[in-house]
Amino acid sequence: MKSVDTKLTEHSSGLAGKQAGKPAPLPAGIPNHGDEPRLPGAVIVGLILAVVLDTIIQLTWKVAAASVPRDASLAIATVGVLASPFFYAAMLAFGAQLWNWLRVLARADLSFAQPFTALSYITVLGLSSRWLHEHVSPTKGVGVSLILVGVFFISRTPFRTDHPDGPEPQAVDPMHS
Amino acid sequence: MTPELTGIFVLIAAVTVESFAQVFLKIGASSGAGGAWRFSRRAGVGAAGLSARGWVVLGIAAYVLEVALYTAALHFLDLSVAFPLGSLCFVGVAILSKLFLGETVGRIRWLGVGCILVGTVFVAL
Repeated sequence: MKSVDTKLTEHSSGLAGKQAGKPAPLPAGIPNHGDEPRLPGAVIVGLILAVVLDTIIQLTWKVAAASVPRDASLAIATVGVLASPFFYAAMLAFGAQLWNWLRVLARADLSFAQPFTALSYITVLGLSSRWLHEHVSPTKGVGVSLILVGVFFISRTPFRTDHPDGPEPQAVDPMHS
Repeated sequence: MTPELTGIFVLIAAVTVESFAQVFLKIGASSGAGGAWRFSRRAGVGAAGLSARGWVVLGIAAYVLEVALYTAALHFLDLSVAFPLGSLCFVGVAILSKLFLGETVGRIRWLGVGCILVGTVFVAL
């Protein structure tokens, strides 16, 4: 995600050194937003935290569910899951994820931030294969590469849409309004 | 209707609900920046008066519904089918963000979403 900073800085500073007084040409498909703000550090940290928490949720949830026999009834399965400490770890991570995600969404577009969570597919796959000694097939490798390329493309787009038609922004904490 | 087709319909419903859940959370997180006002205007519903916390609660409720629908879909579908289909929520979120939140979703962002979508299909193979 460091590349985002670099790219956005390039857009805002342009090729000023080479073409003094002229606006820098942008690559096709990238809208010119003028003085494009840099991706805030809080958003970068929030997106990394979102992927980490998502990974913790998926792995702890899976371990909690695996503690229940496959042929168990719904009642037994529910009791079994509730008895697992991993279930409570997953719930704790859910709460932290909600808090973190609202902070990210307060600063960035939803259509920018949400695709980054696809990186948790890769972290879960990586950790599962390490812990469970599963072989990662070449097909899965292609999938991981495509997800990385997709997230890279999205990281090259502006992280926030300016809305000149809306009310003036105000600082609101959704958890305490 | 075959069980597979039923599962796919339920899964599409789950993906739609999840996409709306994300939109509601976004509105809750940015209510002070006119998120609810913009959604109300674009969706044609009088929901601008809902508080930021109200939108967050609505988002969480939609997530609970999504988990129930996804679990129901898994009853009919193999995980190898449900997993990549579930990633359609990236497409759903991009569409709803453009429609209801007025976000700029350009060609490069769509290209990114497309790569992620195809990538999850390969991961599930």
